[in-house]
Amino acid sequence: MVECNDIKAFENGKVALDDLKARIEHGTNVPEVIFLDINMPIMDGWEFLEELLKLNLKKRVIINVVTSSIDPSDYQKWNHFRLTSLHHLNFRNKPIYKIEATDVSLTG
Amino acid sequence: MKSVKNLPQNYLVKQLPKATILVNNDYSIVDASDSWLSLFNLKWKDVSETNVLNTYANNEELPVHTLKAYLSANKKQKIQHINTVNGIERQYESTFTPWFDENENAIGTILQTDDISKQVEIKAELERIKILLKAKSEVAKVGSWEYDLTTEKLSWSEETKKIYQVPQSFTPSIGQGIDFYKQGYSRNKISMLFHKLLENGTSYNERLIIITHKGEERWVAAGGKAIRKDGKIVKLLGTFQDVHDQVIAETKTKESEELLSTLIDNLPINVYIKDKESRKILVNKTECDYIGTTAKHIIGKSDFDLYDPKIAQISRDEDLEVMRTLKPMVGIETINIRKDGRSTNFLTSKIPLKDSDGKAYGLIGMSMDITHIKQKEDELRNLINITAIQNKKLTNFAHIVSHNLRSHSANFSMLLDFLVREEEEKEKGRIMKMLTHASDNLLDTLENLNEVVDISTNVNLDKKPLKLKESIHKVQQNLAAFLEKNKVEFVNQVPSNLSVKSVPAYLESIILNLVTNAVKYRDPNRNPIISLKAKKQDKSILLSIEDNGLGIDLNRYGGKIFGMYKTFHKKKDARGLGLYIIKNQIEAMGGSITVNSEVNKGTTFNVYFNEEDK
Repeated sequence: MVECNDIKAFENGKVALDDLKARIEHGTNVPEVIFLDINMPIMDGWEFLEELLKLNLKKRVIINVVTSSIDPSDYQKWNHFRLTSLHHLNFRNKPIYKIEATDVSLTG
Repeated sequence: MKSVKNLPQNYLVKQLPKATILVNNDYSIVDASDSWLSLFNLKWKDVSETNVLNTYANNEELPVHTLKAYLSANKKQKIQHINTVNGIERQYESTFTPWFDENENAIGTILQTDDISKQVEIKAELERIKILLKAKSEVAKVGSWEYDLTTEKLSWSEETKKIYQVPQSFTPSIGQGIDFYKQGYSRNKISMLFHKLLENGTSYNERLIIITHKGEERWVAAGGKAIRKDGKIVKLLGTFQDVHDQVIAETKTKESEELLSTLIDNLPINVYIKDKESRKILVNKTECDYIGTTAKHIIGKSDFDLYDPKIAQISRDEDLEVMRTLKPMVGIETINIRKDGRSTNFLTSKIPLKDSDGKAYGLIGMSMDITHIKQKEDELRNLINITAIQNKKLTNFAHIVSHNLRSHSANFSMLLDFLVREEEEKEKGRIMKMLTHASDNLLDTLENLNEVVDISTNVNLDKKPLKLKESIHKVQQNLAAFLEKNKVEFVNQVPSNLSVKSVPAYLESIILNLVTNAVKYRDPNRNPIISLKAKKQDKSILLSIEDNGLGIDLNRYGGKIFGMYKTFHKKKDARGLGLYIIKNQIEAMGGSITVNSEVNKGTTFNVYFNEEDK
């Protein structure tokens, strides 16, 4: 079991990104684990990822790309980000019944 | 026997016009005419009583004994001989006539001499000419014929007989001569010509067909001419020539020329020959039809006279290149523009024409009209583009469908899983509510998808001309309350007479969506202004809908703006469907839609209605 007392959900990528930026500005902890949907209004998952990488976070974050899409191009995009960023990227297809240990912990 | 020296000339004998001497039986010259003396360049005193042998028998041809024989023969004889007078050899003809006294005693010879050098020369010349004529007529196969009107005798030359293939012994008559001509045109013609020649002396020269003695059909050139004496026709003569091979060769040449020109004329290709200056010196029928005039009006003209000047220059440059390099230009796609501006696509070949020195003196051009092929090609390319777009749309749509349905099913699956494992009643009720919501969402999605499918499958569009201004006005009325509530300034600047070809429901949907979008994404800091303009542009009508709203960051969203389920503003009621649907509707009608926008300034949507029926 992993314990966490700081879990936040956001409407879309833009809101999440703004919160993240505010946290960096205020020196608050940045998240350890992110569950990221792809299809969102205003700013979708891929745009959010791009912006996140620009922030140059020193800490390695676990990012779970969660989608109901089975479009191979989405998988390819994910793979591209996985190979080019220092963060730990997982790809999870909906429906998700159970959070795996690897989704929230680097060591498993 | 008299032996008187220097007897005077008998006056009668002296005056005789023909050179005459009287010789007695002793061969002594007893009298001479002045004409004789002058003939031999002698004087009476020098020849009187001299021996005639001295004058005549002075060469090998007429030895003394021969002359003596003639003088004593006592009968009239004629000889030809050569004498040398003043060192010039001359040809003479002498007549020996016995000279009798009153008692019929032969007392000597009357010797008369003519200088026949001229006649002999003429005779020899005549002979030469005859031989020459014969040789010539044999070589040229020219025969002759003659008809004497007095004797009614027709004679054919050797060559004429050869042409008729009759033996040399054959003696023709006029009737036979005419019967040799082939029955029909040839025989009728020759009968008429011969009759006219005989009656009026009208000359003729005609090519006709004869059937020879051996039954061969041959072409001959028959000529006729009348000879008159004292204004009366006395003789007819003419030439007769075998021209069979010539006529056959000419006919063959003509036939092959005709064949060639028929072929060239009827080729469905523009054929022309140009000289060094690119002037047309030969054109076929297709080329004439293309230019729209007769060959007479084209020959001698260059492309500059016939076509658009720019195009003519291109063609001239091609001509020069072909003539300079001597390399044919083969199967090049060219465009020609006539003076009236009509353009034609050609597949053109230009082949240099070389003279005996190997230099180009012109070229043969062949151009095949491929306009319709090009058109088909363009249509095909268009079709491929449309197909590619449709295909992309379909793939896109398939992804949308699979994603949307999948996301709903995933949602159901997950919620049901939670529900099964949940024990708390309150939480169960919350999950049930979420399930109901998910079910409504699924229904919505299916409805949306159905709406999209309806557009894409509606192939048999029923486009009608619709008054654009009226259609906009109708939408404005339907939205009156909504526009009022949002304090919209609605400016309809569309000309009242402008019509667009559209499916009525689609036009309404397009206007409705764009207007409601403009209101939905208004800038809260200012009152919304929506202005609509329209104008005719080429083959389409452009409808512009401009607002002063929030605007869209096109750099970020440009590629997705007309995508399905794409929303770009923090609006709760944004479905991400409106633009997707109207784009599909516009494209289904053969039109297009573009967008211009600046964040915080406003957005303009341009809708192009296709006015062509396709």
